[in-house]
Parts: sequence; C-alpha cells; structure tokens
Amino acid sequence: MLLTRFWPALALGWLLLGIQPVWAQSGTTDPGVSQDTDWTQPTTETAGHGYWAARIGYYDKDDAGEGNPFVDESVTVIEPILIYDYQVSDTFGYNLELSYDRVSSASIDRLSNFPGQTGASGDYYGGLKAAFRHKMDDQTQLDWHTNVSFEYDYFSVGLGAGLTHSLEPADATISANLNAYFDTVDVIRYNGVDEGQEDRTSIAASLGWYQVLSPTWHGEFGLTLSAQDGFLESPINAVVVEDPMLPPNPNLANMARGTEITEELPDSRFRTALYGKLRHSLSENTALELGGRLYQDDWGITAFDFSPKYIWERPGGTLWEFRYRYYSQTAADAYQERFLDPLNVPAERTQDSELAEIDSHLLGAHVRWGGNSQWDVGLDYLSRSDNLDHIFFTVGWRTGF
Amino acid sequence: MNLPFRRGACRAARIPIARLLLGCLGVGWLLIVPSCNTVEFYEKGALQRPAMVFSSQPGLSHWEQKVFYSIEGAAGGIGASAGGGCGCY
Repeated sequence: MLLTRFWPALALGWLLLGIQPVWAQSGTTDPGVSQDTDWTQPTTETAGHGYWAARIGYYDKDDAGEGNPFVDESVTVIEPILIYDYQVSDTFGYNLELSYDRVSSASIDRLSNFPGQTGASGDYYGGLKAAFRHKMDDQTQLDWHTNVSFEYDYFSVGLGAGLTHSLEPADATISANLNAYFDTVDVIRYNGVDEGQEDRTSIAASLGWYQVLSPTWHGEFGLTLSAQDGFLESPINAVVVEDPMLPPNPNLANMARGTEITEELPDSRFRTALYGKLRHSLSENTALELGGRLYQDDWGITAFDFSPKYIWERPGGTLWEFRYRYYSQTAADAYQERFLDPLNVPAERTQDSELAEIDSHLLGAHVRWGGNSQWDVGLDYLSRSDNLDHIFFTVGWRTGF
Repeated sequence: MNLPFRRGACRAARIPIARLLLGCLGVGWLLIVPSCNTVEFYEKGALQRPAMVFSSQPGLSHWEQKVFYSIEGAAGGIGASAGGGCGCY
C-alpha cells in the first residue's frame, strides 16, 4: 500500500533527477539504469585479442528463526565462474562462460530424511553459456547466445539474440534483446515425493538506451518484459495449515501444530521491469551514480529499488565503489504469513518469504586494481525487514592477451 | 471541485500498470529532450575515465543477477534476462 501510494512521487523524483543535468549543463542530458551495461554498448575488442576471467561468489543467508517460522531458510552458496573471451576478427568474437554452484541449504538437507532422496544433502547448479557477437557495420552489432544449466531437480536450455545500434549524432546507443528459456523441473516435493517432470517456458524482451547527456553526465535506461508459462512453484516449498487440535509436527522448525501441504501458484506470470542509471563525474577521479528500478508483475508484486553508488579512483588506478541499495516489494496475492483455517485453504497459496512484503537495505564496497591483469573484491551486507539478513562476497580476476 | 475528468483520472491512478506506462512515457520524454543537444567528441574526456565507465567486471552481473533474483520477488533489470535459466535456492 505504502509503495502504491508513493509511486507517483517516485516517478516525479525520477523525472526531476533526469532533468537536472539538462538544467545544469549547457549541452546534454541523460537518463539511465540497468545493472548490466555490457549489452547496451557494442564491444570494441581488437582482433586476435581477448581475456580469461575467473570469479568466485559466496552468498550466505542465516535464519535465526525469522522469515517463514516453519522452516529453516538458511542457505550458503559458493559459485566459481570461468570466462573466456576472444575476438576472432574485426567483426566476430565470442564469449564462453562456465559456472558451477555448490548449494548447502537446510530445506534441501531436510529432503535426505525421506526415502528415495538420500542424496539430497546438498544441491548443485551447473551452467554453460556461449555468446557470439557479429559487427554488422560501424554502428550495428548482432549478439546471440545459447546456454544450458542444470540442477539436482532442474534442466534448462536458453537461447537469445540482440541488436545494438549506435546513433552517432545523438550520442546514444539503443539495443533490443530477446531471450527464451525452456526448463524442465523434476517435481520433488517437501516430503520427498517425486511427482514427475513439469515444463516451464520463459520469454524475456528487453529494450535498452544509452545516452551521453553532457560532458559529465551519461546514463542508461532499460525496459524488460517477461512472460512465463508452466510450473512456476518451488516444489520443495510447503504451506503449513495450523490446527491447535493436532500434536506438534516434528517436521517443522518451530514444532508448530499443523499439517504441511503443497505450495500452489499460478501457471503463468508476466513481469515488467523499468530500470536505469545515471552517472555524473564529480571530479577528475570521483563519480556518483544514481540507479533504480520499478517492477510489477501479475502475481501482485510491485517493487522498486534505489541504488546510489560513489566511485573513487585512487592514484595508481585502484578503483573503489561504495554502494547502498534500498529495495521494497509488496506481497504476492497468494502469500499469507499463516493459514489458520483448515477448512478454507486458498487454491493459490504460499509462505515463501521471497514473495512476502519485504524491504531491505544493502551496504557494500567493491575494489578493483591492476593493469592488464585485474583483480576485484566485493563485500555486501543486506539487512532485510524480516531479519533474514544476507552476506555476499565475490573475488574476480581477469587477464587480457 | 468536481472536474469532469477527475473520476477517470483517479481510477487510472489506482491501476498500477497505468502508472508504469506513465513512468515509461516520462522516461521516454527524458530520453528525447536531452538528445536534442549533442556533446562534441573533445568534450567527452571525462566520460572515458575509469570512474565513469559503466562496464562491470566479467561474471559480476551474472553473480548479482543470480543472488538478487533468488532472494527477491522481482526479476528483470539486473542482466539482460528475467526469469528462467537459473535456479532458486
């Protein structure tokens, strides 16, 4: 409700933020934000050159009885990523990305208590992505990619393509991307019951715009529309219907008196995300970035985030980034914190805390240093309103050849 | 005061998708108006400095996309895709 009420004010704020550069400068303007800027601008690699890169990400969510009280939502993920990028000729290059996640979570661990799922003491995710870029002319680039990913109970094939075009006189670059994912989910429920396989199809279309606004301002804007169809629940999720007449349930983290039943969510979902970021040069070695996103889907979730970032280049080339991110979302229509009436359980229901009304504050720092071989280290702490706090850590390396 | 369009305007304001479209229009306006002025190439030096370059380190947006999409209900806007292709923990 609060979010809905403030939406017009936010939009106005965005407008004012965007207008400011025009007033402040004699020349130009700009908008912009998308957390991933790689796809909005054509690459300018030299033929015969490329790079190797590696990254390790660490993510930890600690559950001290908060969030969904019926389950332990603790998760730890370690993900190594290996990337090889090569520019074959002046007009063609490719990028290969291999990733692997080792997931340790209480919910998956619980599965090992049930017959037939004894191997489920941990989960893994593997992904391989191959992306190709073709320079059509000095202003236009075609990108396409394919990827496969798999998990303990999940397999996905993805295809995507995009066009990027520079509008030279306007100091702008526009891009359009279309991605499709075809997933197969092995429906292993919270109680270890395997209900067979279900399909899921996701299609996402994105439009991006990069704009130079003035000698000291530039930015990006993007719009993503995505549609999903098929099995969209998390099969491992359960909903607890409480009943004081029942004995304490030993399968529940808080030994509540209740029965677990399956989570049920709609078989389709349409999402809209509008995002942008603006960056302003404050001095020769400092800059300020203002980023944000507005989001809405037909499950009832409306969300926004606002993420200012301060960038500081130290003598010697070390680059520091300090960021803050505020995120807020409303709850999905199917979400309820508690289900207290066994005779009136809604057809669509979930207690997934990721679909609850939440907001969060993130504070983080990222540092990058080096020349042809570069290192970067990042650490973020996220504090959530339901006390499910998170820590993210990443270290990356890249060397050119 | 009863303006003839007041009822309709309020109704539209209650529909989130209408607000989103309104936002899109605002953004479009922001994009178009500024582009009337171009920056000369010799004025763009500041935009090429390391602190002003948008590009992220390899693999960083992949990692951030995965993390945020798996802990929040919203997806899209971090990386080029939204939904599908990545697991939820």
